[in-house]
Amino acid sequence: MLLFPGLLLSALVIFSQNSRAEEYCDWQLTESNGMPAIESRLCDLQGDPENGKQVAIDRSRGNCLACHMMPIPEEEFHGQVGPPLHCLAMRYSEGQLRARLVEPMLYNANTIMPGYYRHPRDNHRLANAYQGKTFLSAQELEDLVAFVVTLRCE
Amino acid sequence: MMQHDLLSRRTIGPKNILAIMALLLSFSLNLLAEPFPTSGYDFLPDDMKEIQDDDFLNPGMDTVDKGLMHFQDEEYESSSCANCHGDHGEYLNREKIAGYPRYSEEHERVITLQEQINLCGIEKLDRFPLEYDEDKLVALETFVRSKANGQIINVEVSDESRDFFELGKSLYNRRFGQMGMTCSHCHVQYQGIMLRGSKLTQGQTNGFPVYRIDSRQITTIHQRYNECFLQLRAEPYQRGSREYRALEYYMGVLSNGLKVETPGVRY
Repeated sequence: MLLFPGLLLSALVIFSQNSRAEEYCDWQLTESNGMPAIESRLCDLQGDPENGKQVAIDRSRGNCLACHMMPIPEEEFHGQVGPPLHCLAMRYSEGQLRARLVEPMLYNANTIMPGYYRHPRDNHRLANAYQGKTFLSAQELEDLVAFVVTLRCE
Repeated sequence: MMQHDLLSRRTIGPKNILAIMALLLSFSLNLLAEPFPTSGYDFLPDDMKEIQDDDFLNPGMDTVDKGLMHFQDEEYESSSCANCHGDHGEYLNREKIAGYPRYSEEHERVITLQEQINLCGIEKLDRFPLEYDEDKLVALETFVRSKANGQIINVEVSDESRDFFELGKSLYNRRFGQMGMTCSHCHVQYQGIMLRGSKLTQGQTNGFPVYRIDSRQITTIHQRYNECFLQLRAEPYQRGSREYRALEYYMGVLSNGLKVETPGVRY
């Protein structure tokens, strides 16, 4: 059952070639229902939920499945580090979800979750290959937001 | 009956499901975590355990044999390790080996086993010091540590070594790289939990140097740190650096109570 953890490692290494530096889209932190939120889309980009789902699955991009169980039964090996993401859009608003993806430490200072749009200057000892780069591009982040807001269970 | 009631009244809405999932998750976290400390060995499937346990199957034994060769080598030396420590290292102090990294009164700092071998070589032999983590030194370290197999790890912290221990601890709990994770996130907080297809271990150091099935090579602790840093997308430190040695010291203390398993077999 166990996959070689090295596969994860190699996936991460390959990733370094994909990401590219781009202008950082600034965001405005607000509050919604007592929780941090980012209501405006990054650089006003329109997200594509289909692509967002691929970002969530892709080991070299979002790799949400590494830590979360998700309603994506066609994929094996969902991680158990974080909470399940079923019904996510019924638990949080779009703005709250965007804030959680951009910078999860806004919610939990001790979280293990990476900031998928953390400013590169806020990383400690960032590897040279990643200098000036965010984890996901602004477009990928918006795609992911567009996908997770579809996770409803009505 | 109760459940049937609930279902028929359709009260299992999203809120209840979430509550149930949260409850299950908190249970599963408690059930999945291993007692501390637990060797990486206990996270392995049975066939991998067999490979480690059988000296003829364990690929790390090649390195132990090479280490023994260097240990006895007199060809270019005025002497050899074996001259003092016995042909097969039978006069080595097993208990002391299981206590590395340890504070040295003489050098007034904490010394790793590799450093100790080097210091001994500088004093008594011709071709030392060797570079940190170079093949010959790794082989010697693997051989010497394997002599302490089964010995209980006992890395001590004293007033003199407290600062170095604290440095290791602060590195262990520091967020690194684009992933922004700490060592303790994976190896303390979430140990035993599935990360996609693999189970997070406690990252114990009792099997090092280990033979890694992934890379098919013997791997030192500092080399493994480099690989972790790469995974975190962080700039690694140098092998043999003060930072890595401090981390090795701190993690040695976390491994106290486990048995030495060199050469361990790991993914």
